[in-house]
Amino acid sequence: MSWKLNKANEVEEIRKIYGLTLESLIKEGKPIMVCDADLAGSSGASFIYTKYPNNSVNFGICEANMIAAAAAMSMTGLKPYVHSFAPFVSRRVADQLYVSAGFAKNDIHIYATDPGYWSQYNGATHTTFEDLAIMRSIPGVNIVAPSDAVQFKWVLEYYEEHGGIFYNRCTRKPIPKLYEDGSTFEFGKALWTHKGTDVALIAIGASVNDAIQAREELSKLGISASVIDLFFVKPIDEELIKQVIREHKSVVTIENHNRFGGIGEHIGSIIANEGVQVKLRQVCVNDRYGEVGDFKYLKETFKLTKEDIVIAAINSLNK
Amino acid sequence: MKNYKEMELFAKEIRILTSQMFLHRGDGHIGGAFSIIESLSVLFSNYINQGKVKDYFVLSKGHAGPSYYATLALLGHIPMDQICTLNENGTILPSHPDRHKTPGVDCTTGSLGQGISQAVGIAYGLKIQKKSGMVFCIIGDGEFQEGEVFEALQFASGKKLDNLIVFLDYNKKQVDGLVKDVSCATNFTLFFESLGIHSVTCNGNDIQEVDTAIKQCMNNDDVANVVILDTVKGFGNKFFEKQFNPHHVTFSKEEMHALTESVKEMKKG
Ligand SMILES: Cc1ncc(C[n+]2csc(CCOP(=O)(O)OP(=O)(O)O)c2C)c(N)n1
Ligand SMILES: [Mg+2]
Repeated sequence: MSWKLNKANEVEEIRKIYGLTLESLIKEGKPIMVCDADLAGSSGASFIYTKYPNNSVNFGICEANMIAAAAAMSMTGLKPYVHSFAPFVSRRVADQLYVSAGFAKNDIHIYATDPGYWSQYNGATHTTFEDLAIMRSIPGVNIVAPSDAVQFKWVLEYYEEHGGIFYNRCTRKPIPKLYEDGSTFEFGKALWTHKGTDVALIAIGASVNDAIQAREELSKLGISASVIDLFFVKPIDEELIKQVIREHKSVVTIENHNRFGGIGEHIGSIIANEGVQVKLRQVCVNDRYGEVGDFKYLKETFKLTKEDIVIAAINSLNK
Repeated sequence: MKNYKEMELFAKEIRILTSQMFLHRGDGHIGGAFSIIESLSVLFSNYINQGKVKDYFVLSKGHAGPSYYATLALLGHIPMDQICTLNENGTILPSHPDRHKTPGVDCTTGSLGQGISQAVGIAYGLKIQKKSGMVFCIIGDGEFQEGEVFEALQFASGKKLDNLIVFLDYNKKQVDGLVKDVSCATNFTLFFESLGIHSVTCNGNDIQEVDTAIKQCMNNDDVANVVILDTVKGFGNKFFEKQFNPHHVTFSKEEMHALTESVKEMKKG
């Protein structure tokens, strides 16, 4: 693992990286199969379908069939990469994932897009605050929540090389590029991006940026915060978390997901198992359904803003 | 009861209001919202009772919500001053219908395939309790690919749901292109026949034809019914009719102009 924080103020559109990375894998002659269920046009990989017909297939609006078929395709030597909006490749296909991918030990990479509030104007039916809970409970499913394009790309390439089942929970939209190009990561390893001494902010996905901003606010208040980019929701980096909970006075978890079955609960169980005396506060969705709206509104409505993180951090340090 | 002229006028009003909602918002699922407007006009004019007998309407292709909302607003269910809040923060008009948010909306949809299952469930519930009331459900031809649609149709056939009429919006297009390219070409008439479902095909953008087709599907004992609506995606706006696929459009200047002009024209004519 050798990563560096990106000093420049850049953003990168994740779906663009999806298309470009898959194309370069195809050009290298890797036996990949890019799959979609009538949302290729939204995935950033739509050009693959015209340019590389032997490396792509559109299943139509048939997510259940796509998951089981793509997983089984891996038995023929192909590495399937499927995409749809997160609800349609998690909630809707839980049994296909469980049996045809998980239990049958086939390979599949799932780009589950626009999780949580990222669904914006599509509303509740397209919002996932429960996908991590579903995925976490299926044995053998690796769950990643990249915080930027560099991590996202690394996952695509890692899967091509090693296979397995990857649930890649990520937006399609442009988000800050946190890491320098060429940074490498490690399977199952979190990243302690900013060191502090009082409170540890453990976040996933684009919420890592909110944590970093909250850290700056906290430092103005004289509170020293660490930021941990969890990256792998499963397998979780127990080793690092055990260290973090010992070296801080309190812990705040941040996730664009429901309280139940998310990272907060998991880290809480590690704290309890270790018997460490450290307060935990969760910035997460409090058992609600999604709704339509812009980011600002949705983050405020579900209490996932940088201010919510600051409040939770202060709260966690109060005796 | 409305006559054909009145239903044509109602369709025009729905189309004007839907266009205004889209213009205000600047984007939306215009193609699929426009292709069903004639059906909405006929159904809500002469078939859907909201009185003592309660009929149900299920927009299974939930992304067409805007024209459904426009219809409900013109009928007085949704306050007119709310109509342009489509998709705004805190709105009662989310892109996909939510029965607890919007007055007049019967079913919560937006995950394709689930609306028709809800429709067969309601139809069966009514039938088994000998309650009157019809169930009208609109599905998309892309949506038709969901396995769940097949499951629902088998149930409808097996349980002889003669209080159900499913409308298939055969506009030949879905997100990634033509239905026949993304999925496969389907002979729907043969398909429904093989399931023992009575089907009628009509020009789905012609008030009179839609009305006649519905008449042929009402009061058929012991058989489920489907109306295959042969439609044009984006119907009623020349610009979008011609577009390769006006599924979800973030309107360019040109498109905003085309919409504005067509509203003017509709208001005149
Ligand atoms: C289960 C599910 N999968 C995918 C989507 C995303 N989606 C919304 S509309 C659409 C295409 C629908 O095509 P069609 O049914 O033909 O609708 P129409 O042409 O009438 O707009 C897709 C794939 C969804 N809403 N639900
Ligand atoms: Mg269609």
